[in-house]
Amino acid sequence: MHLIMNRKSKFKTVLIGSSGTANAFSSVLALRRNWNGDVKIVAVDSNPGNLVTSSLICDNFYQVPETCKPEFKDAIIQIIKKENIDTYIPFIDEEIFVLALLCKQNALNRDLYLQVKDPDIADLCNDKLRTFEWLSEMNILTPQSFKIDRAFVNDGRHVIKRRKGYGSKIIRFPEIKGDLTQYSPDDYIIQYECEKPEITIDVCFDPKHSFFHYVCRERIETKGGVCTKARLFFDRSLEKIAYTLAEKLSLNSFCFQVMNYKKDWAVTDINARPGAGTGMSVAAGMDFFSAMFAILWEEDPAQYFRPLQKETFVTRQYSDFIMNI
Amino acid sequence: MNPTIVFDLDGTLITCESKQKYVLLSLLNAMDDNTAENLEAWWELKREGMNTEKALTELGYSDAKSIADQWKREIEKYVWGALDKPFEDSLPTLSYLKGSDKIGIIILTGRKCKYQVRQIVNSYGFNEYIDDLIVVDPYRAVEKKSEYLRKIKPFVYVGDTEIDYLSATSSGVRFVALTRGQRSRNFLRKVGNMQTEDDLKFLNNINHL
Repeated sequence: MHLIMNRKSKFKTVLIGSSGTANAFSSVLALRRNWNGDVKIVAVDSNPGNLVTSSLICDNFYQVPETCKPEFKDAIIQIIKKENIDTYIPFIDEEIFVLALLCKQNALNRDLYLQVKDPDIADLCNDKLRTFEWLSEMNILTPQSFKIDRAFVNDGRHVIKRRKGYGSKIIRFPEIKGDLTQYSPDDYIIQYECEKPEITIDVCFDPKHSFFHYVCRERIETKGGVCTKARLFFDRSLEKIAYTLAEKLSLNSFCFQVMNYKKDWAVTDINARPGAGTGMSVAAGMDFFSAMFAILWEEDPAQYFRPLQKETFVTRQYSDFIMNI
Repeated sequence: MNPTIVFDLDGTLITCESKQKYVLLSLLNAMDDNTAENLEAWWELKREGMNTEKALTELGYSDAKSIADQWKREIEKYVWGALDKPFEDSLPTLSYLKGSDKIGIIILTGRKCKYQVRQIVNSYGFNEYIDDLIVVDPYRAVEKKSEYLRKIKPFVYVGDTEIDYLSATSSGVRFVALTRGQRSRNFLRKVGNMQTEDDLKFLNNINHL
């Protein structure tokens, strides 16, 4: 499936990681829409090409080991060398960390365009306990979080979460069979459960062009952790948090979540990448994916944004693709 | 009645090259066909006047009809609309024309699903400037576009294909062809005697039209 096509290497050669994700597909569409023939797209995923929609409009596709497996690093390094990759877009938080680590270890070309090259930042965003500690230091409201083996009074308002995970998965205490020792303190935390609504904020920050843009996306309905019905709006207090996160973490294209905590907005998660629902902001005229590439390639991202004129509702429907004809 | 300008959409106000090429690439990839380097050649043949099937045949595809039939079904999918974008001068030109007193702006296009086109037009912000969006059956495009042009009586129709040219001439409407879309200048000049332009700059001074 999807053999090497021997296309002449173009101006930019982009590697799209975890290309089976919705945000990866949005990125591929953005590249084809705006850079057309000036970009060669190579995609990788742990699934075979015939199960990855992005592979349909990529130049080359490779199936690679899952990010958590040790073989992943070698496979990626080989592909980067073989394809002369100059830009890498990882879409899973663990993958962002692995790539940053490889960068720090000088296993990758120093000039590789990659948003997060500092493994500490990648780890901070990937680890909910570290996120809590950092946000607390920064004086940004975040729900109380602690290791699962710490003594606490269960007032019925706390839940269990994976330290490293995505998709808003939680475990409530009444659902637990057995005691808490089944959950490793290294992998799980206890967190105060915030109240809805849950808002994702898409952010674009380019200090070189003095450009900042954001939009708030209320997750009215989610399926499998991905937003399917959303309300888009602007909010000054969330804008301020967005700018602080962007500046302090040196992130250009990212999203974060807030929920209601003791009658105020509290940051529950930071993703050092656009989200699976960010495509909904694109539909409303704010193309965070194209802006992400523009910033990496030192182009002006402003051209990809048409500010929201009013509160806007966006719904999402699935599309069907035949993968083998 | 206010003077009105009518615009075609695909290849006139928004790009059409990426969508057409990469929908073909998606089919070739799904077929395990290792001929993606033909995309540019295929697009050039289409720019020179060939339809999808003829261009594929010219490039040596033995199953050109089957691919072309699938391509026609696939190209109308809403998701592929994300491969298009407005040309850089589209929104500024619409804004300028709207700001010029008493100019009506209508988009007249041939597509299967009007509601999808409305979504696209809104997502690009064109809806802020246009007075109407008319979507006609793409398989009866000349007949239907002519009908509307006769009713609207615009002072110019801006398009990019021989279909747009024939629609305009058969309804007695002045036509300007843009050469940045579906057809090349070379091809359009063979079709008929028409004004051709690279882009929308010719609309920059409405008093000179």
